[in-house]
Amino acid sequence: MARLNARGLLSLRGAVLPLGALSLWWMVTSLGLVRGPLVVTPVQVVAVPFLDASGRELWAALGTSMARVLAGGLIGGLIGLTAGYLTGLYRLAALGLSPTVHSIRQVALFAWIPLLTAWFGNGEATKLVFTALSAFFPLFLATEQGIRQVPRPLVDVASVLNLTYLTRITKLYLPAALPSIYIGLQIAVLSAWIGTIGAEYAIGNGRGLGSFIASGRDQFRMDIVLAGVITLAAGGVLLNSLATRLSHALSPWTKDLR
Amino acid sequence: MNAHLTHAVVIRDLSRSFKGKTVLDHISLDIPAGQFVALLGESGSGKTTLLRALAGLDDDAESKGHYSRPDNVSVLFQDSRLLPWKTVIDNVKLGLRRPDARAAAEAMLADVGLGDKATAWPSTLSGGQKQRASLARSLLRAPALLLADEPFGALDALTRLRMQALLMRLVEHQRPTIILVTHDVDEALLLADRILVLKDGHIAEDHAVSLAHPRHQHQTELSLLRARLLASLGVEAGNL
Repeated sequence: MARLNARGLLSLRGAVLPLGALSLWWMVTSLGLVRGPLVVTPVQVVAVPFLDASGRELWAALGTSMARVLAGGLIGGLIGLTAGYLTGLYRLAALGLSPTVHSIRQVALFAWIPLLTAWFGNGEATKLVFTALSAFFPLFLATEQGIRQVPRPLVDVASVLNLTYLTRITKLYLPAALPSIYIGLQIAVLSAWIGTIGAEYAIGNGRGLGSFIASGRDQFRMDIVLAGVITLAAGGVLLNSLATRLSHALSPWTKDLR
Repeated sequence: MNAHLTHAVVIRDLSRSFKGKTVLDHISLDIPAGQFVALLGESGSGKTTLLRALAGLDDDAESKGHYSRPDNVSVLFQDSRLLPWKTVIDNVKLGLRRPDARAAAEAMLADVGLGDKATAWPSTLSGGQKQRASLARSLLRAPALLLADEPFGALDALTRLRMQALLMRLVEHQRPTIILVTHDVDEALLLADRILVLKDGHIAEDHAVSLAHPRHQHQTELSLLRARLLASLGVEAGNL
């Protein structure tokens, strides 16, 4: 028990800085040290998603963004996983595909938006494609790397045991690449989340957390903007923990190593 | 041609080289079915290369000559090479397409003394236990030819003795042809029916050991052969 308490106290250390900043913000605004149309108190920010008509739109916006990030992320992630598997395993695919993907990756993600809106218009399709693109690159790179690093001795075992092609994929290559794929998944999830919000913000129309923040900014509603930003961060934390849980559930043999 | 029928392994003029460096140099060898052959040699003599050639694991070598061997081959490596993401029993029956694979794997695990470790992860086993699981995986396939590349080389002396005894007990019934690569002259003397010494990629010596099992190190025939083998491996036994 003593150990548990000590560990509990230690884990609180990380909260010191944010709580300090929050107290400072609260003091500065409630004592009236800083005034102006753009200055809001922490209480206003916390209250706005519940008490304000425009603020209440936050929940629907959050739901829409989450659905979008999951749909787009799944599409882009699966394509990245497949492409990474092929280029990781086959020389021909690596020679044909990798140089192109690695070059396209150098283009800053948000530079795609003008092009995508030209191709897919200002609606849902562009946002989904952009989210998919954000998830694609990290998973592609991680899978390619992971498959290439499958230990040669284990490949020998597969060949000695005459494993079928399907068994080799499901029981050797994919599990061996999983640690690398998990790192890719964590990066991909955050990248897709940033991509979703960024696309919503840049395109502006339709529902979503990004558009919610953009419209708050247009109305000079700092409470709405800040509530949106905090929700954005919470969404990122939630997605990250989902990715970690998924990783752990899929690799029970690493339980002792965690 | 008739000789091929009674021989499990027939090797003719087999050469292997890597990037121009010759490792196996025109090896010819006949091994009768059921014979236990130990392959001795200094590091770099080509023992492992010969074994990997027979296992079909040397795509990257320049090859000459040919060999015939049974289709049903198992390989026992120095490290256990269990898949870390499969439980012990799933490793043992990996790739087996038999309806009774699970029951057979359970029985084989009990045979090697790992009956209670079937659902354990490989990372929780000791080195000796991993090698037992690996042995179970190899023998569950009832191989006609067992290729073993220093399978006990990384184990401590006591565990090695236990594993040698276990191997002898298990192959007593199956009677596969065995080629065991080893550094350990005593291991070769205690286990094998025939001892080959490989030197610079060719077979330098070929000794039959006809003593019955179980053997022990102090039998005169073994002592004499040991001195000869050590001398041919460059160790003067008198100096120890």
